Amino acid sequence: MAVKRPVEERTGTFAPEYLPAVIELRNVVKHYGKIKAVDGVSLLVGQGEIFGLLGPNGAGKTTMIRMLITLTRPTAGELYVAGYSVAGRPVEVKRRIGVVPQQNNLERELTGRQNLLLHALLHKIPGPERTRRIEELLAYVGLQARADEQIQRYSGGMARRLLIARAMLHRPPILFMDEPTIGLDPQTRRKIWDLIQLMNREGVTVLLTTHYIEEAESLCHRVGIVDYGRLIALGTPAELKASLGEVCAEFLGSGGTSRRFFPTRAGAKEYAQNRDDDVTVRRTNLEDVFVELTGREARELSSG
Amino acid sequence: MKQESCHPVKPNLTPAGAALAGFLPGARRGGGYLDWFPVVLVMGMVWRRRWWRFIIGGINRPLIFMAIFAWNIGGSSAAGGYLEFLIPGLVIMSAVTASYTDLVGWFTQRRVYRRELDEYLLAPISNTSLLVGHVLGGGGKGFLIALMVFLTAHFSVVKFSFSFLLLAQLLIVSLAFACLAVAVAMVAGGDKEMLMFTNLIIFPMTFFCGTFFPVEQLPGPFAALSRGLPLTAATYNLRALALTGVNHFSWLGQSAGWLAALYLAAYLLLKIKRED
Repeated sequence: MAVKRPVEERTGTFAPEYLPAVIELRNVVKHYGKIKAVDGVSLLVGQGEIFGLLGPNGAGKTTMIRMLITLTRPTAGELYVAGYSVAGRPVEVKRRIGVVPQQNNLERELTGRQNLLLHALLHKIPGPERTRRIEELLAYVGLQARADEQIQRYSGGMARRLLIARAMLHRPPILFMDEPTIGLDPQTRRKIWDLIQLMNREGVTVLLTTHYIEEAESLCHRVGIVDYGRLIALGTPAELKASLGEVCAEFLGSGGTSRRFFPTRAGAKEYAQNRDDDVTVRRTNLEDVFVELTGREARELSSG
Repeated sequence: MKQESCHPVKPNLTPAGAALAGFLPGARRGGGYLDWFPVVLVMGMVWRRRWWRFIIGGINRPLIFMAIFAWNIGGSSAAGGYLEFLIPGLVIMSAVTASYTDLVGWFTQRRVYRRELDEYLLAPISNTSLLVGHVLGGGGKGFLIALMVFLTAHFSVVKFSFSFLLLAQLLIVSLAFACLAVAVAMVAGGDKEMLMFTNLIIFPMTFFCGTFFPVEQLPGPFAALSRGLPLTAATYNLRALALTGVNHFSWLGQSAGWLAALYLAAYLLLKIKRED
């Protein structure tokens, strides 16, 4: 993996050392009335990364994505995508991004192929190339056999795969995915993960939001944890876990589940032996990082 | 190499952005059509799938009105005169209903609930193209439905004059109300608000703008108000064109003025509200 340690943490700007940034947020704020949906976020995402914004529903992840993809205007701050100011050059930004929204926004009365045709026309992909790319992408996401069925007959997983195909049709170098696997069964979820990794290997930078710990841990090169509109931690999953300690000793105390973190398994085992109650010793995961940083249980990730 | 920020070196473009520009085969090339074309195409494709529903939904009300009046007021010359008066108003009413009602629902659903509009907002097309596409799609449908009502009446009830200016008047009013539909859809937060606007604006207009009786019969201030509304000028001019073949440029101009004003309102609301 090419991305190295975060630097410049003092300024709140977290930057991978090696890659040119293709997504940048600078002190971005978004208010909805009195609610601060995004509260002074600065972030750089490098070219070729799969970057995950992890946080509970309502944390501000979707708002960040909507600001980056030109759909929502920030209250303050600056955003750049592919080198272009989102506020100043939105059309240039739109040419360089693909978006997989959280909600299925395919034209449901049209077929899968017609939806791709619409996207190709909107992006002015020329005729012969248009047909070739549509066929290629239908094959890529495994929907050739169902391409002429109306979207309303598609399952959630099929619609999600078609959304990915649509987002990739104009060959954007940057892909935004808002909760790409929400509501999907584990098998389909893994297929989507494979697709994301495949696209990334072909050079596509991916910024995704998720509230699935496992997704962030297994898919993302770097993860930013978002809570109450703020970016509260950022790094590779390994770095974030190491910041607590590689090993976790977990036990049920009088105030609920408690966790202690240790750099080594030996330290955790020694701690467990000195306690009367049952202690589970295991590897630290991102869920532990989230709980420690936010004080909220990880189940709140999905309950919002 | 250290991390490079996206900060613009030239106007909003960094070396990273310049490098990425080469990643876009064909994205900048024109497709030989205007940007609004895909918007109209999709509306056409959806409507083609359910064409019979749209046609029946569009023509049933004016035809029912026509049938009720034709059967119930008898065959006297006064009755015939009233039908001649009424039918052009019903044609305009069907243009308004088919262009406004369907488009406001289409747009609100796609903006607020189903989010299909995001697909257009994320495409590299301008607000103008987005608006023109929807107005042409919605207005075009209203125009076709109104033409069907007109031709049905022409061949079954009353023989009317048929001219280019009559078609132009019909098209202008259809496009004007399609603009109003987009403006309302950009303001409405959902179905209930959309219905409230429709009941507040469209419903009274269909009754007080000269469809069923001359606006001169309204009390003074209301008559003056009615004469200024977009439906009145359109109804009066279409009636004059259909019955006598004479065009009134003041009414046609007033309709065109309303089209321009409503287009501007829709454009501004689209521009202001799209990023909220």
